[in-house]
Amino acid sequence: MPQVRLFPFAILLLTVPVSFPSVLHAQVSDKTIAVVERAMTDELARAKSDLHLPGLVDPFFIAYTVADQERLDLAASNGSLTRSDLHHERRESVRLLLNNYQFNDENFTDNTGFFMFSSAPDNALPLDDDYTGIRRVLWLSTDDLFKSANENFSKKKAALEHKEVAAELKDLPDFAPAPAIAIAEPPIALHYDRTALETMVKDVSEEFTAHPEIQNSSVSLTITNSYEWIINTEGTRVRKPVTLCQIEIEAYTQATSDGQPIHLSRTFVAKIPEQLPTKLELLNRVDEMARDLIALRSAPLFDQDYTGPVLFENDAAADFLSENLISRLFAQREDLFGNDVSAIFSSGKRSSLKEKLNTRILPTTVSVHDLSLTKMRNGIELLGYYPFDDEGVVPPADLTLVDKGILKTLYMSRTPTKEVREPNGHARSLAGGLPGMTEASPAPGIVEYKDSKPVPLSGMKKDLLARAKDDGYNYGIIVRAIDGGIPSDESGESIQDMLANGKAIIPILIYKLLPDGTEQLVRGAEIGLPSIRDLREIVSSKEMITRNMLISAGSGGLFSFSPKVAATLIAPADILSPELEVQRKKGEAYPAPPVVARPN
Amino acid sequence: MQKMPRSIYYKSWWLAALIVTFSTIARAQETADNDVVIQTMKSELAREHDALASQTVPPYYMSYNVGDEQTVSIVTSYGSIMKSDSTRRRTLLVDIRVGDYSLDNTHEIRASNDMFARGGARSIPYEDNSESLRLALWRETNASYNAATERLQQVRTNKTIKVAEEDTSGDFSKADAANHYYEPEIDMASYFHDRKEWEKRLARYSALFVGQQDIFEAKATLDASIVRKYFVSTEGGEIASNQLYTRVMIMATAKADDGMELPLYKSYFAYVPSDLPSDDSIMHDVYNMIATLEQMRNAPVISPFAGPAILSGGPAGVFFHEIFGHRVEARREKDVNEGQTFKKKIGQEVLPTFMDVFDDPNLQRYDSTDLLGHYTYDDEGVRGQRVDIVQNGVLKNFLMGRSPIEGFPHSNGHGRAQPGKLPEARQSNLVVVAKQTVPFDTLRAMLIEECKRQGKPYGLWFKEVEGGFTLTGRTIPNAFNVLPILVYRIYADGRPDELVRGVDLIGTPLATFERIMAAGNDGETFNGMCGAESGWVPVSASSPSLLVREIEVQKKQKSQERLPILPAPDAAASSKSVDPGKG
Repeated sequence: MPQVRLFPFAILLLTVPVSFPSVLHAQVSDKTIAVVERAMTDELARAKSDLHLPGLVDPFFIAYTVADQERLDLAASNGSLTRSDLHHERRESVRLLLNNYQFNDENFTDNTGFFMFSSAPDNALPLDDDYTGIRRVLWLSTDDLFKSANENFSKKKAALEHKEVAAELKDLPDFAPAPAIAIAEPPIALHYDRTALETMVKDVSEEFTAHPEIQNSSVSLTITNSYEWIINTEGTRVRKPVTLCQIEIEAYTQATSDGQPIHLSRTFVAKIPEQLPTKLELLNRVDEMARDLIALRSAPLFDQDYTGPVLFENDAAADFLSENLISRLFAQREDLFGNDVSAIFSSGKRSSLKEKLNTRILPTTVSVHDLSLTKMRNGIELLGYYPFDDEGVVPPADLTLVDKGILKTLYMSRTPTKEVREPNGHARSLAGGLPGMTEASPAPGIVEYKDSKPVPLSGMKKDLLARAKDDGYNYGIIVRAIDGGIPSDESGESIQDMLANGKAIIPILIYKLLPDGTEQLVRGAEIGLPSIRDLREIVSSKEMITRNMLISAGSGGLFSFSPKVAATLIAPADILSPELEVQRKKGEAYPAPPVVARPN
Repeated sequence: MQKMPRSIYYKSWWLAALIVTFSTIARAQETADNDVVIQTMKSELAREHDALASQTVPPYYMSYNVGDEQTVSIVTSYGSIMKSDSTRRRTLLVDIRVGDYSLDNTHEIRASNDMFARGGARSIPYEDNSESLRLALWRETNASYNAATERLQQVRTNKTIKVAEEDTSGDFSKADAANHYYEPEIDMASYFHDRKEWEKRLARYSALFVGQQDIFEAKATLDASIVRKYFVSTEGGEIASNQLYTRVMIMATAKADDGMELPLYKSYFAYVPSDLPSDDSIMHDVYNMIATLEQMRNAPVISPFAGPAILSGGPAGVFFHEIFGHRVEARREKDVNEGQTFKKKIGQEVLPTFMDVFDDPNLQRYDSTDLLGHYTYDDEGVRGQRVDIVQNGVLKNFLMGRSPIEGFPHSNGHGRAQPGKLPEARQSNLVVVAKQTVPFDTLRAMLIEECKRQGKPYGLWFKEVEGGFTLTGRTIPNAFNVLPILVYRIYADGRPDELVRGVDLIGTPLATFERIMAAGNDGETFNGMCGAESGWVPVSASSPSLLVREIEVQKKQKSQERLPILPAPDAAASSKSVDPGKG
């Protein structure tokens, strides 16, 4: 059995006392819970029994989701705040389906109105515990949806009269039933002090000023505390807290010789503020990032064509697995005529592995499980935990996605696909999002990637060098940071960079490992995406890391370049891919380095 | 010929320009010399300018605009608070010009999709920390300088390969821009201190809509805004000024039985919150809105119509802002993609000879109304000036920023922008003046007379409008569309006035101007936010009522949705004895 190694942060976190004084932040009260739930229940009951109109098709399913969210959003640059906002919002979303499970108004996109902005009513709810006010908003949304669903349903039927449905979709139901559940998790009170956090963010951001080579940098922190209710006409009545704490550090410089822009970012996520890195830890991280960036400024360009083994360490290993494997393990419904609508908007992302169902995608020694009902592990609150998904379905305690390398099933919502018909409780919304922002899409929760024949960490480099030598190279390649592909105002990353990101792996910290053990940092390389053949050959380290992180959801839909869900990845600390193509990133014109010297 | 009393209506604008003092809320003893932001901007600009001067392509002009926006936003609906937020952002815009006044990097590149060419806004620290501000200025100056030199190359190439341009005026005008002006900083906490009280007040207003079965959306909102603008330039400009306003809006939407949505708005604007109308006065207006919405629901739908009409002062102001004001903004007379409606009309009659139009950012009040378009210096560091656009019906001048057009080489202080956007010539306080006016009753009598002459059974009276949008481009029809809210039929046969709904005002601009017959001796102001290439800027438009010989309306495209199928839950809930939410 592989030995479980704690993520270094976690050790620190458990032993170092929390450095900021804690202030209890108000969470939804019992009264709020009662009023919101009663308003939802009463309006749903009324809609279910009374919402009919001659000539229109009746709804058979209605679901209401409501969320109350408080969000603290801080950002600073070089020691001063650029942003400090505290928002409180309540929003609802309604799902209403006509006719029956087998054939309803969904899974059909009317091409004519595709880019029309919907005129759906405002989904903001009163922040007061206003029973009638909440019902009024739900009432108008339900009414609006009932009418638009009927419109869509008649268009869908009309389209079917003129066009043949793809054969394998003919008998596929539009929506899967789910058992009624009743789960009520209490709200979580978060402890934090806004002023102290502002000071921390400022101080951490100021640390970059000690490194004049860093041209731009920012530190941001968001704490989101939500409470969510879902009820539906199947009898489900559930509520749960959703919290997310996130720190993001970004820094930017340019290569001294040719001006190549170099971005480095680090993201830390936790379920509660106490499990975020401490200020001391963050200051160390800033210094480490600055050191890496300064080294990169004068690092030589990668100038070879390399086809051989690549070792991904730590963050890079987690990013490699999540982007190239985990976030591809979903199945999303194609529309009526076999068009994969989600694929159109995911051109910058890796595609679903659904075509590979029941075939081998990983080494025969590897299994991948999802353990989304697990709350804690090694003292860390797992971010990927949830008691039920955003369609009110409880995920299995242990979902086997890959067994002995064979892809067994995929993450599913309640919309059946030709690959998998049954829901498995993995319809998930964006991390930190609110109802109505995006639709829930099939995505991971807590993923465990286990290799029964791992290599000890100490042996990984030896293995790398040996394989490289067999391929005719006198060095191997190590990657320690991959570009996360999230552009921000501060980083100055272009849209081109963003779109290019899905087509190759862009390593930021990439090293040549020489036989004598020395490492040489290089820059300007890109790594071709791994094929299934490459995934089948992945070598794992024996040491495992439990890591809270944001993982790309399969399909985020329109206008969402990089939808992410709150997740946990339990996976080998390092992995080695034996045969990747590494080459010089081509065709780029770099901006000139600053003409004017940095101010003192 | 009809006899009409001729009262000379010429407002004493200069008297209306009262000084509003903010001494009670401004930080005491603050001067430009101890303002960290202005001093940091000044010294960094000087340092950058010196260093860039030795480059092969040195800037001939540089400026920094910093916009510091503090906002409070409260939304209530049916007596409940939906949102109550405050934010603060500081945005930096660096303008670097390489080349020279006649041809620089900002020159239009013809036949290109040049949307992103001219810089973007950057968020910078809002705290007064010299070191972090200087670093932000430094990095942004560097990025802007790179972009400027690169674009100048493209401009020169484009000029070589395209036919000669029609307008040969330069890209940037020389201006007396070494202005120094300083207003002390104002912070939100002292400007707007009754947030909790205002939440309650707004909730009270929107609560008046509770139980109104036919009103489907009802909100009372407040926006308090302090925009502090800093400007420094290599010409020696050094300006810090504040734009303040608080706006309360009441919005309600009813639906007619045929599904037509009937929105109604009421907005109140003041420089300081204490100058907003009293509770009683606003609540009185809300009761009137409720009554009007009920009338609108039962009003007949307009059929397509062309005939005489009266525009009340507010609608007339919007009408002028949209169809006239936007077309005298210099850019539209230069850009080859624009209609250039007025380019060759200088010195010609474009309005009836009894009419004047001017735009004056120095005005702070019109009658007792605060004017939203007031400022002292524009965003290019030029003193805001009154521009007499039309005198005795004759087109005299354009609204100018520092981008010259043929025959108009200088700015008149109308270069305006939302923080973070590059300034363009924009309107401020547009004022329409009629030198011959009649009382409203006479205007009405004239309308009826005109109906009879044209053989129309009725004319229209536009009492309120929502605002509008204008298409000035060459590739789309050169038309305007002002969205009327309250429109009445005035019958020629003496029947009482009748409210109608579903009215869309259409027409082509030049034709409409010629058809103004007379003006009332009244005046009204429309305050609003105006969006264009340089972002959203606060503006006002004031006008007397106008009688127009012919105006064309069409039926508004109505929402296809029927009334909600179920009654409002208020009704469902009120059948129960206790409301658990309020218990």
